[in-house]
Amino acid sequence: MQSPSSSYQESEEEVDQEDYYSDDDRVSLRSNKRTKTKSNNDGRDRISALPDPLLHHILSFMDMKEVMGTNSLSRRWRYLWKYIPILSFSHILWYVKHKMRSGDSEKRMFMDFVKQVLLLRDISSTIKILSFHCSRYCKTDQVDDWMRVAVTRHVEEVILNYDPGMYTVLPGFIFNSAISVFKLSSFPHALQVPNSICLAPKLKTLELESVRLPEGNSICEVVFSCPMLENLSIIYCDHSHIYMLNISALQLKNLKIQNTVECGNSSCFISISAPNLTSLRLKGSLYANYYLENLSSLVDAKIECLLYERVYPQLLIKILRGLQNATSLELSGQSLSTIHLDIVISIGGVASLVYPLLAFKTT
Amino acid sequence: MKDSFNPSIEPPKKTVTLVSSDGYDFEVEEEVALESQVIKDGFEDKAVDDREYLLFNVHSDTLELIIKYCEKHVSSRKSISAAAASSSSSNGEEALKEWDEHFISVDTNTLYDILMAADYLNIKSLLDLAIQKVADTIHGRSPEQIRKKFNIENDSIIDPWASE
Repeated sequence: MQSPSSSYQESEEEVDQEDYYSDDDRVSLRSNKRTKTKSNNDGRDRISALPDPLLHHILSFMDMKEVMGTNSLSRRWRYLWKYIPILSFSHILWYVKHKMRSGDSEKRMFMDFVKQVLLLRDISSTIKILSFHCSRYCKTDQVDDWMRVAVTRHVEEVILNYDPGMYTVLPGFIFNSAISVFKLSSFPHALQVPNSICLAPKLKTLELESVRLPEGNSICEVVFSCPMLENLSIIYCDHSHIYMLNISALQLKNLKIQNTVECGNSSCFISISAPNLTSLRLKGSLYANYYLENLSSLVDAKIECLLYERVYPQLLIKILRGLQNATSLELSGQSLSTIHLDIVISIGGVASLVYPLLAFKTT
Repeated sequence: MKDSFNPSIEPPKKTVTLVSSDGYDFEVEEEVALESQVIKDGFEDKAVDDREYLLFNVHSDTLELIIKYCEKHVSSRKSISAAAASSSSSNGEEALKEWDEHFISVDTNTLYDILMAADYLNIKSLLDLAIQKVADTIHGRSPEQIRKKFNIENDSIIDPWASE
């Protein structure tokens, strides 16, 4: 977010600032204005005088590699890194500039670094957020170890971006823990989430992107029924191995599902039953069939289809019936308006049956 | 939350007096002062007539900046929600972001004053803005450059990372 100001001279910044404030013609609020006597830079070390929580807060805004760079500043800074509550590790800072792709040595350095930070950190101070952006820069057993740290230290939020390179299942223990926010992204569909994700006791927010959905039960049905789950988003996830995606979460408020043709969801059924759901977004390739039940709190529903996909009227009738309670409904997609005009007309008919007061707008 | 306070009902706007550590009085509108969580919390406990807050940790120079920030945020929040209500497109949030960036481009001493005051008054958005600014300043600099920038004296006996 920083403008090129970092390359400016300090004095230039100050002059600039002075102009900025004097431009303001508003009368000063100060009842008895006096001239500014305080010098702007008296050579004091103000940053080191900040209280520990504020310094921890500052360091929480930075990547751990940069944080570790600050421990040589002075004795005051030496051990601050041990106590910060938000730890983020990104492989990007480990790229060697002249190399486009990283070699094994960078990979090992990154992994060792993460391990050492987690190992040498103060054991009694809590970790709130653990974030790993490691793409291909890590090995599966390392990620398992990091997740074990997250679980044993009662981390609230885990952000993991990781590409195992080959088919891998995340360990099941991750979701039998206190984690309340879990954001996972991978590429392509090599990483699978375990079945335990469907019953995670404390999970409130779950975001899955480009991962393979859990294996499901014996009839290949995946039932998301986490008792605390409020926000669920399933983006570009692999459905090809499952027969039914069932989302029946009592506390669910926001649901977002987005698919492309590669997700294999066109042969999969979806069932949503969430009495507290207020916002529903379904985007992209359609499922084989929809069972939308118990959506009594729905406020805002948005259905977007792919451009070239054929939409069967019966399916749409079913979807629209399921969304009856929505106060705002948005349907979009080329196939709904231009390609299959006859279907639009029938949708219009159905919609006006289901929603007698609806004004239809085709664009 | 703050919408419940509607200044248009009573033409003379309610004001609060904030007293800086060096004894200057600042009279500000109530909703501007309520941007501070600390003042907001204290507000409910206080008697209605007593509208003076002594801010022992905030110098007048800093307080003036803080008030400027809060006023800007209160007014632009109003204009953003007004624009949303009339569904007219506005770049209010973008403009505010730009304003924030300009606002926080201050010299390091002022930045700490703002940081400490935002922490003391518990104004979360301003605290995050100031902290992000400090983090950005550290970002991409070598330890020697950071020391120079922040006047940090290296009192380590051995520099364990010196060889790197």
